[in-house]
Amino acid sequence: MGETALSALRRLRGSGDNSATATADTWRSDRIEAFALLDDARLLQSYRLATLILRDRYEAEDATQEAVEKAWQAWRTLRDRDRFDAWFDRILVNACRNRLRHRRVIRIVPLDDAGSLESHDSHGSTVARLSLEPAFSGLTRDQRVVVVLRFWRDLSIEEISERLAIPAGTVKSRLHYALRALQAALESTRETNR
Amino acid sequence: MTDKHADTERAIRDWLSAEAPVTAPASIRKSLENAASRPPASHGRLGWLSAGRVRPAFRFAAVMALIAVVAAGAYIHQLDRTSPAASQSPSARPTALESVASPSSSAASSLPSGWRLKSGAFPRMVAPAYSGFGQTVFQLPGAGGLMAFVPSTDGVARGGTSGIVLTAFGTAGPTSPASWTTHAFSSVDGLNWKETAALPSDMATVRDVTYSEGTIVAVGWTGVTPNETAVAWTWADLGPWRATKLPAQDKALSGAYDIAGGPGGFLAFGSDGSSSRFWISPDGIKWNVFATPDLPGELLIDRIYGNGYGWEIVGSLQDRSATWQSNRDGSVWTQTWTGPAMGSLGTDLEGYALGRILQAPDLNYVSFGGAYMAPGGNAALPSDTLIWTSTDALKWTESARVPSPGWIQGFASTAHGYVAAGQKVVGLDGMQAYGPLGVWTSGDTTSWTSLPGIESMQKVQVLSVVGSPYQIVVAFTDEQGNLQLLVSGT
Repeated sequence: MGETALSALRRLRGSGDNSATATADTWRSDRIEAFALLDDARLLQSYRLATLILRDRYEAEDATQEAVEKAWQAWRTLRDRDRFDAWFDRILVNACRNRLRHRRVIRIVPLDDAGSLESHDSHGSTVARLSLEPAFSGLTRDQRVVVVLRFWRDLSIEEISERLAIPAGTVKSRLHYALRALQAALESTRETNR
Repeated sequence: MTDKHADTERAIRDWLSAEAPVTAPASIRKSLENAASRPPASHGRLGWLSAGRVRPAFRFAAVMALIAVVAAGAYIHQLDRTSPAASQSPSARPTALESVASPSSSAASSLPSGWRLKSGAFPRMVAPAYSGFGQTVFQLPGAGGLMAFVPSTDGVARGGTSGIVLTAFGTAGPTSPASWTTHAFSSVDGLNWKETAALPSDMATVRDVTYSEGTIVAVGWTGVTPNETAVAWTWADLGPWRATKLPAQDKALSGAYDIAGGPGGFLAFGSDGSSSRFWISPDGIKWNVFATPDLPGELLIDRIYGNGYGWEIVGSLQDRSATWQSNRDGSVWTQTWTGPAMGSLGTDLEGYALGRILQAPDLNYVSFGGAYMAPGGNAALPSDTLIWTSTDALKWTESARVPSPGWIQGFASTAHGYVAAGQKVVGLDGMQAYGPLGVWTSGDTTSWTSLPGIESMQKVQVLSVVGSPYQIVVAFTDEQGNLQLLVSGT
């Protein structure tokens, strides 16, 4: 975490009204402590997750910022502080899903550099990149989310179910159809390149 | 797993891993710092209109504004967004915002900067029998966003095999129809509204809405007096609304007035025959009657709030306001505060009530309460406003008593100040005030400034005043049931 962020959090922690009740102090302190978990590494992970779902770094930046602020405002909806990660993931994923929902319309406004993602891939095959990029873009927003949570975040079906507040069966179904589409795209590209 | 599946999954993992960026923009860290260090309340005028930094919600609103412009046929060839820094500049977006906010009436043209009039977005409303117009626009807690529930005869089959006969609108205004559909709309910015599936219940009246864990739950009742049934409606993942009758002993007359999400699920409050009733649900779908033996029988409940420890009740005993806090599952309730008894502050026949709890810009709490007149008292109309402050929303201190700027229907707060809306009192028709729409802003809770440019909006009824850190929405209807919104902060 950067020094500035730490300072801001410490300042807040130290600014509690001494006459406030233990309840008020606890609420504030809990929130500040919990949000201290959002260190640079965690924020980077969140930004990466949003980027993979949205395929657009600027939108991912916006979505992550939106999630941070919503989470701060929505602190009281967190029922169990130990589940902060899952709770924050859900807010972030919902922010991404909302952006994907409106993307069809947004796309009619060309963004010069928004769609381009630099690849740091050194061993991913050209075949995979050629086939997976368009195939992934063709998935529904819900399919994208489960694919990224499953194969990049390495979450279990149950963990994804919890984060998205949907039944495990729905997660499996979305994964099944997404995988089928991605596999077909991979095979098609391989056939073409033979 | 077959080799083919394993290969596919490996390829996906490799590809995703390679595509993920290796660094995050500093603006994300900055957004956390900004959220965590929001400054204390300003004593100036409402300041969010000129805030230096445009928050993500504001930016999203700008995108929504662009959508509206494009939908209206405007030609936008390129959005000047060459870098994140450029996109954060407030000056980069006013064209789109101004376009979406094209005044829909002559009155809007004189609205001050930052305020927009939204009209024509909803079907014409009807007033359910014995209920009148109620709160229509709700601010969802937590994740934010707005919901509007509009009872309307639009979309209701007229006549037909059901034998329903509708009494729609006469020239004098809305009358009470024999049936109606309650249309539901969602919005993130108060300007762009999307209709969801309508509530599945005929003659649905919505009285409160909340949001928790990805589920929106509304409560109210179906039918009209004397045959009303308490109902909860749930909505998640953009699917249809699901209606659930709340269990009641009185099969003829029950209704739910309030709902809040808490650690133990959803808690709703209402009436069952002549008794008050709590209902609890883990998911908004399965509901059970909930006993609260710790609460006094004389308690009149005004509002329920969810918080990190359970639920809070704001209500009143015979002569004073009071608050109670529950544990996580609502099984234990403890009285946390009682206000001054009637007559202890002012005239002997005045009572003092808490209003809706609002979060202050400094993250403490404010409630605009009333100094109401008991029978035989001499409190002036419109009554004074009592400003209560609290650090925990449980225990309250009266900080000021000021004359109400008008006949106030409700208050709301943002990250930078407060808004009140109602009617400017021109005169009293018996006990009922009449006058044009009034909206007032304040940075400090005590000094209020009237919003100019709305004087021509006569004979309106304010239905809702809601706010979030970024926006205020004042919903009002004219005599014909045309719902309009005054929106600020987008």
